[in-house]
Amino acid sequence: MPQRPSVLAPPAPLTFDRDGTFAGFGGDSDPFAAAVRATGTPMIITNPRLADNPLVFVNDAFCELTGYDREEVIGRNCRFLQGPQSDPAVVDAIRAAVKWGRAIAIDVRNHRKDGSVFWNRLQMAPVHDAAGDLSYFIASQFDVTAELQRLEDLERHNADLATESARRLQAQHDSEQRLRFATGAGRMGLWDLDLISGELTASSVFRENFGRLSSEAFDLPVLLDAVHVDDRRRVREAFKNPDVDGDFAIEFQIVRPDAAIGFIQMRADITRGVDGAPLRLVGVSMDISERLKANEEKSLLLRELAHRIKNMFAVVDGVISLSARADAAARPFADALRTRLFGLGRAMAYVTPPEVVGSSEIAPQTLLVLLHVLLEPYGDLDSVHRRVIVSGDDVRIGRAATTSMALIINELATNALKYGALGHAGGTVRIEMTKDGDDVTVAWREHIPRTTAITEAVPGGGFGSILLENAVVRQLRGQWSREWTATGLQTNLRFSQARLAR
Amino acid sequence: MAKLVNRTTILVVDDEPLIRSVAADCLRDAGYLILEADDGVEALSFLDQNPEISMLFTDINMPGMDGFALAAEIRTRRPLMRVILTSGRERPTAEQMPDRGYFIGKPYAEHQLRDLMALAAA
Repeated sequence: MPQRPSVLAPPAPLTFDRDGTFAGFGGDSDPFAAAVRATGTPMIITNPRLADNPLVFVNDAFCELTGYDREEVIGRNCRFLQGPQSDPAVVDAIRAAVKWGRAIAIDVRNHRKDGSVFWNRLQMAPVHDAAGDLSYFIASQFDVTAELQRLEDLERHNADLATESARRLQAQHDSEQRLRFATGAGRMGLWDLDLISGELTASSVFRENFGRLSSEAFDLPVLLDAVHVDDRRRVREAFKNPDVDGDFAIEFQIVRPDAAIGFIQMRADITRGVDGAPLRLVGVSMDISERLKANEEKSLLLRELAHRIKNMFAVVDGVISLSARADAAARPFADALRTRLFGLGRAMAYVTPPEVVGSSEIAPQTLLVLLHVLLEPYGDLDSVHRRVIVSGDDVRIGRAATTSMALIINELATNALKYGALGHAGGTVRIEMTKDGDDVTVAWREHIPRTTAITEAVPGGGFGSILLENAVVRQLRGQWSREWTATGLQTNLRFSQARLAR
Repeated sequence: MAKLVNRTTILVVDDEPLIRSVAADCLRDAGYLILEADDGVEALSFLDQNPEISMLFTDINMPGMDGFALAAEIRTRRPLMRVILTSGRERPTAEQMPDRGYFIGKPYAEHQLRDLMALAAA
């Protein structure tokens, strides 16, 4: 707000004609007059004794400010400066001041000749003559548009800031609500560890995870104390060197105040200093005791299931064997059946999910491994005296194809044992796999040393061939052929790799 | 192809009768004399009554006395007893196996069992 000016009284009178129009200042040497004329501050003088308080003097600065020529404005009331953007209340105040002969200092929106608007800091004062009567008004104008615009902008900016601030606070509040809900629902504790000071801030759920009340003091030493003695050193180390693996994550056993054992998982983001050194850990904690227990139970169940499947094969084998005891004629068939079942059982053990089988067994996903598994009973595959040698390109074999392949290999091996290389001293079987475009060929070559008499029996023209045909052609959509070489029987199989991988 | 062995007597122990009888039949066909027991307790009483038993073929996972315990007990009575253990579960560690003991994992092929018995009897 501009200050109220003191009343101005020119040292030399202004000269006016008889009808009141301004004639000039008293003498051009009058320093005051010269000052008023020359100043860059727009100044005007009005004569309230004339009708409508007209302008009797305007300086050049005024004309520059308002855009009017002197001739245009002299004799007029300066309300021409007002316009649609002028605040009526302000205008009234100015009018009142004039009416009552009072000084006024006020900012008013005025219009230039070209219509443009500016903020005018008007400082008007009455001038009295020697008798004390009102003789003139003298006023200065000042374009304060920039100042007031800036003020307006500042206020608007403040308002915006206030709104933005409120909005962000709300957003943060909402976010915190969601976090509380999520962690609450998930029973996640929140924690914050200052690595420099060792100070630990922990939520109530965090304390609950540890079986403590929210009112109890809970710092890092208390936490470490709660850790099971088996895990304590590991946990202490982890907090000492938190960024060994990037993110901070650790699981450990705790002993609750009631001596119950629990499992806690703590995870955190690492806040670092400018030098990269870890300063703070901010994270969540979770009681994973239930989950671990459930996992363990699931594991146990799966292992039990796998064992029962294995057992089933043993039981079926037993039933067949027993049944055959009673019927001598059925014995050869029963034996053949049991051999095939045996091969299937071995293959089955290897298509159970990896987490189910014991640590010593691995699920083979490739033909080479499956062949090893299936042929192991027919001779130690790794010793120098091995009788079965498997080599060549490896291809993936899926679960569906595993069963069929088990039957096929079983058949070939049994025949080799009964009539072929595996039944002759010194005889060997070489199995070679070769990729051929989209296909893979499996060559089963039997070698019987020349010194031994070879029984050129056609292996199982009956049931064996039917089974082979079924498994190779109908199940795996492959092809097979047989030939007698100089050293023994050779069976050739061909499959599409895609089919085997199913 | 059964070889006639000089009538070695094997004590076959398994709590699952079907499995046990299959093993017993297989070994009988190979020429051995077989005695079958349901569990460790029965096995020990057969042992006392039949001094000619020279080989023990027992399952490991049995309720009550397991195969390890049975083997250990028999060895205290008959230090030179040949011991062959079998199981469908994990392979036993070296520490778990009795001295000079053999192990065959289930399921096994009959010829594998016969070969192992021949090896153990030797």
